[in-house]
Amino acid sequence: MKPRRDPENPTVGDPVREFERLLAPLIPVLFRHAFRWTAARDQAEDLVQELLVRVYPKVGELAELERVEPWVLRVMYRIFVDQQRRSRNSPVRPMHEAPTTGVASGEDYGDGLADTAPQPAEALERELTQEALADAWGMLNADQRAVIALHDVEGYRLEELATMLEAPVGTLKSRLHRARARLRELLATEPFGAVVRDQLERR
Amino acid sequence: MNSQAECKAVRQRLDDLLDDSLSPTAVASLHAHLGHCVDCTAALAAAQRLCTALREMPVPDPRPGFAATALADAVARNRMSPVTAIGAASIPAESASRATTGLRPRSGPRPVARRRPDLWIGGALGAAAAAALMVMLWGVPREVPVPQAAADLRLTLLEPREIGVAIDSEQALSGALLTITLQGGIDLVGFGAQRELQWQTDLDAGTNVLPLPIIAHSLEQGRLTALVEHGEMTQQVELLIQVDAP
Repeated sequence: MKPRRDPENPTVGDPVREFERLLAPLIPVLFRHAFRWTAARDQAEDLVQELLVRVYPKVGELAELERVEPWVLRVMYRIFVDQQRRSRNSPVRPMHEAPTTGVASGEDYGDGLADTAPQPAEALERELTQEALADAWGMLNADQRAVIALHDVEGYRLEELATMLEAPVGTLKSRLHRARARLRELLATEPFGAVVRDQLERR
Repeated sequence: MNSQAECKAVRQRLDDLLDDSLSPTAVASLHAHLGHCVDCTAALAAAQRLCTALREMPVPDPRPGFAATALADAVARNRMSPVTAIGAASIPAESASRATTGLRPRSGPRPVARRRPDLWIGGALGAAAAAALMVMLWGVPREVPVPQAAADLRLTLLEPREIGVAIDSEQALSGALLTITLQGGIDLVGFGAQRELQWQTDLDAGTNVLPLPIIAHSLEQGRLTALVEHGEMTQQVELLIQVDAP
């Protein structure tokens, strides 16, 4: 692959500046992915931080890439999977009775949505929909969140994900469909709008 | 009128329709059904609304200054620990196997990643660590002193008892290293005579609990030490255990 390196680029030869030039513009995108996968801001920041630590020694290779984003996203996904595996195998468990623990804590999906919702009188249905969705999203497992986020939210095609996630298209397709089914189940969505109306009536 | 079987078959293909992964013939067939089936049309619309709602889910910004701090820290951590960083960059064959190992005796160098000190609350590292991460013992008498001090617990010989290590962390931590060291006449149930056990684990923000079933196999006084390490931070608590004859 032909390098895109600009001979006039003053950062060439300075790995720190080259690293910042390549990665700084991607951090908002990477954080957005990480947050959707983890459903928690702290964990998303940790994931991005870990990614940056791991890719810094590869800055020379990054500079040769035509598109850096898919490459680093792939690395971040592998770190994420590794962390999830470690978490599943660890005997240490969060004490969910603690009020500040888990996805319902301050900066995670549920509360953030409630805070940013429009005025209640005009947008009660929308707010409730988002709230219910955020709750359900937090209840998916991390793998399910990741595949839905990448495909349905970010718009990656299954063929692209097969390369990125190193899994066959068929496997990813099954994983995606199971994840959607689980999300619909969590939302009791059949159809989605009716559940929202039902919730409205119950309140 | 649509048969239930036909509707069921269509519903099973709605995901494929959303994925745009059907042949033109299959798409035409589905649309033919949808054209006269209100229920399946509603199901498709619901699935599409769900996708739209997912795309509209807001994502917060990272904390102010995160990008600059994270970039600088990545550089600093690599300069501090070049071997770890290079090994990790090619990703996780080794770390994955380590991750699946779970509990294991200590061997070789500790797989501790360095962590940015600036994310810890406070200024000096020692004080910041104390504020951000706290280790306590669980299931021991209330008069037990505060963390980081030795505490007493009485066990009856050969009668197992479950205590726990509670780790309070102000924020989620990835890859904390937890080491349990045993001395004297005590064992962890299920781990034979192992004297040192380690987990590399992620911690949630808040309280995390590691249950520890202990048993005394002799009347010799025991000592259990729990050490949590993450980057520059360490926290330790010790428990002195007196053993009584049954």
